[in-house]
Amino acid sequence: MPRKNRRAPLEYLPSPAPRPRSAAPAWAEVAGYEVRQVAGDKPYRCPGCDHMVRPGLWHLVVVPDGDPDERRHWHVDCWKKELRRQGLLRRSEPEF
Amino acid sequence: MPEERFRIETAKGDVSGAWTPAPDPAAPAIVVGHGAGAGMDHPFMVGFCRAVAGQGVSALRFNFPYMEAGRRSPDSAANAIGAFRAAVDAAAVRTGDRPVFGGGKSYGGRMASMAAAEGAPVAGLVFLGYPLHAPGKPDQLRAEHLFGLEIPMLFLQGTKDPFADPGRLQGVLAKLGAWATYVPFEGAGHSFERSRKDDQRENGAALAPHASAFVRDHT
Repeated sequence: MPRKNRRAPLEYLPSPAPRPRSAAPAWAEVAGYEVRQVAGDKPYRCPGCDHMVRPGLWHLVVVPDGDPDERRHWHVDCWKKELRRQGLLRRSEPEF
Repeated sequence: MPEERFRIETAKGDVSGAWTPAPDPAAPAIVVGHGAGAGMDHPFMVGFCRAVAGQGVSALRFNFPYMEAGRRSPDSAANAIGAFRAAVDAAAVRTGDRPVFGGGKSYGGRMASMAAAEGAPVAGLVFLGYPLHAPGKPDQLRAEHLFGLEIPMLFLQGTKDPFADPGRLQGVLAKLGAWATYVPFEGAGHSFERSRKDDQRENGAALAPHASAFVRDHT
């Protein structure tokens, strides 16, 4: 008699890996926006270069203060360029 | 009528404004904000403003501060709302004591409604494609602040707009009741395009008859 195809009970299935996220580097923080660094599982379009941010890539989520609906996903370098264009990129402190 | 170009003072610096007056100096006015991705001189905005002015409603369009500065990340809610309010004041100065309506394309319309929810003195709102939800996320509606408004609202909306699921929009309209007027654009997308070859200026201008009739009905 053929064996039934047994499936592991639900509770033994591995839970999906938590999506990693962390604080953004200090240079990326700028007044008026909340910036987080994430590795998403979906493709997004970067407003800086109009190309895709591929799934799994560490990138920045930029949210205007008070307006979560205008959340945007940026390549790290594109956000850096955006800030540099506006003269908002902080220079690193001189080391002593 | 020639267009007047001027500067509007906001907390985030001066921004550009353009005033397209209707022939009648006692005409009501509408202040329109641009969409998130293109500024006030996008052909859609210019087409709408010129057409609506020709139909007896003066139009004021302006840049939000981030667009004026050449940035691509929209302003904080407080700064966007502040800029909208400053634009309403600029229109009020130019119309005397005639009513000033608010509105805009997508993001600009949403900011107009948020400004109204925070007390900006607009007589009504005209949405040139309201961004009711992000594409593919019809469960997260951007409508809560609309339910507290007690002014007439006109929703001009493409039936194939990925930012406005027709079923969800119907639910919001039902809840707004008599405050809401809905004009569907059969087969049109978020920018009222029916094909990729559509002329954006004409698409903007095509909304003007609905907007001017709505303003007339409510002044």
